[in-house]
Amino acid sequence: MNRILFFFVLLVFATEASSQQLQDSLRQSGFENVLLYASVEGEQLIFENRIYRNPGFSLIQAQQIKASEETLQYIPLHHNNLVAGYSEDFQILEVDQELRSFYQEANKPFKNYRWQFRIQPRLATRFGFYTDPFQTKFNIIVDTRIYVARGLSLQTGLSIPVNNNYDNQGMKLRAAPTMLHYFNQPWNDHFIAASAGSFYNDRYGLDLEYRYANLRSNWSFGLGAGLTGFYWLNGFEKYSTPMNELYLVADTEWRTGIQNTSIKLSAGQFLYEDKGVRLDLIKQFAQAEIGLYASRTDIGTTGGFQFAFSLFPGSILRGKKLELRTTEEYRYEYTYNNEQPVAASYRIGMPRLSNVLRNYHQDWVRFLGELR
Amino acid sequence: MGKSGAVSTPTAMWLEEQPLGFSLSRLPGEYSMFTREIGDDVYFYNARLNFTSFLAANLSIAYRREKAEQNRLGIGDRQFDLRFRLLKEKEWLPAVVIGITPPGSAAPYLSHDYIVLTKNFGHSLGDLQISAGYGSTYVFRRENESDSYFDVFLEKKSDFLDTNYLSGFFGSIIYKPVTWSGLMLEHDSNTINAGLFVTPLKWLSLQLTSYELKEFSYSAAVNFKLDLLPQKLRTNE
Repeated sequence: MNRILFFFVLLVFATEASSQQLQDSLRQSGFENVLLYASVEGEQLIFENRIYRNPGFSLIQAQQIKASEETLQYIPLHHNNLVAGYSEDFQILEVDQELRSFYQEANKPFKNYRWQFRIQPRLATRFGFYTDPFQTKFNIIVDTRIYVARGLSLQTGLSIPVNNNYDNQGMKLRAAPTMLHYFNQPWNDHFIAASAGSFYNDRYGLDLEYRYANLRSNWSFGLGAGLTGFYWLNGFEKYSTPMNELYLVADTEWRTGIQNTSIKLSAGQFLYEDKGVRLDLIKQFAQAEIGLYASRTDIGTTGGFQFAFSLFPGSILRGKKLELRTTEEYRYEYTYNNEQPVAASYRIGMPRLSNVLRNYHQDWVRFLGELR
Repeated sequence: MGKSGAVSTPTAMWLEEQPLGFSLSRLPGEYSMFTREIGDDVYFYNARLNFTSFLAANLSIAYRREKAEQNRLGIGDRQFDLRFRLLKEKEWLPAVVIGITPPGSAAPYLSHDYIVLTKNFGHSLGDLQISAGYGSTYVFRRENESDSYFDVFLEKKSDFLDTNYLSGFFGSIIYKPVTWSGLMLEHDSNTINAGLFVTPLKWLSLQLTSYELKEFSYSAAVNFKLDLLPQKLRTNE
């Protein structure tokens, strides 16, 4: 009897030691908030990885790090909150109440994350004027995001001007977009994001997003609302207009099922009280997302393209508690008609929900899995 | 010039493995699509993206230094076109591609609408690729004063352009005795051109071109894969 008890205790210790080893290896590889939960359906590995744009990449990396005979379920987090689970063969698994309760208890927003500093360029361009064909504003932004509660972060940083022949903003060091951002999935498939603070594209104010996205379905629907004003900073000098411009845009996105392409139709009131529609064709590649769009509004008609990718090299310096890295998502948009702001919007400092959730879609994650 | 093609004519080839491409070509002024005037060389910058195995988009900028100074053009004419692959090449059938420039430009010098067929033949002495196509002699043009992109009318190309580039029948022959180099001969429905290309690296292609053996020029293209895992996650290399 004593011998059986001894082996049982040894087995428990060995399992614990191997779980600890897995968690440590993942943390050393850049994963954060790594938690293991032994549910009735099997062991669930919860983690956040802010290096990659694609959660599929972090799943693949986690699979490579764990022992090959182990079977796990993978729960990649977004912005310190649950999105979905994936099986070993990347099938979507529902987030159930049991997992939610465990996560609520085990999640440690401060303790389980590194203090990350992120470097990203910010480029605004206008082509075509004869006297100055390439008008550009180029800043380097170094920012950081700290989770202060579950799904809630404070983001701030410094914007370092490098070049500007684009607008009248001076060359003094100034605060980068600084905001509180909240992300949650209160019920399965219903996602919300709320932001307050200063954003990109010279806007400040409040921003709210809702998205219904079943990550197995080809359809998703979203609503974005913002109440913003213009702001201008140069060192400590500042100027702003009242926060009274309404942005209200609804969209529907359809994953065509053809070679990772999606079509998105947005309609509503864009910035500057400009009412109209915008049609996007989006293609997901493993290394980048590239899209074409056309828009027609009260102001006019235009078209353009956009792309987003992770900046090389990713992690530059990584310690136990600190990390310096390049941005996981650099996004650039070009519009043919760049004088009049047709269907203009703004970026908030976190990727928009549609751009985030597209990367969690089952078909996409499975496609990435096949590239192994 | 960005698209799969010979010296300055498109073919129906499709770079499936390399969906993103950039290129730069210099066109001697008198052989460009703009004019037959001597001296105003055109620098043609192009970006290509294959959205799917049957839809590709091209964005081009044609920069003419002298013209830019005269007419205050800035960076130059911008042009956007789409390519649709109607048919993949089969054992007995050629690949078929149509190229369309969406209407809406008030100065559609770069617009071209065409259909092209390409067939490859393998032989122990080298590979031969033969293409033949037809470019529309008409083009959609936006009313000069109009703000609407839909206010367009059909115009015969020859009524406002004094060249026939991709206007009527065109064709090309590409001969590759080795995998990394080859010779090209084409008729762009305007002139007969020839070229020599080398692909020293999988993603790099360099061309020396000649227009009617009177003018010589060059072009360079880079083409990239995009469906790759990050380096450290690749296990199959």
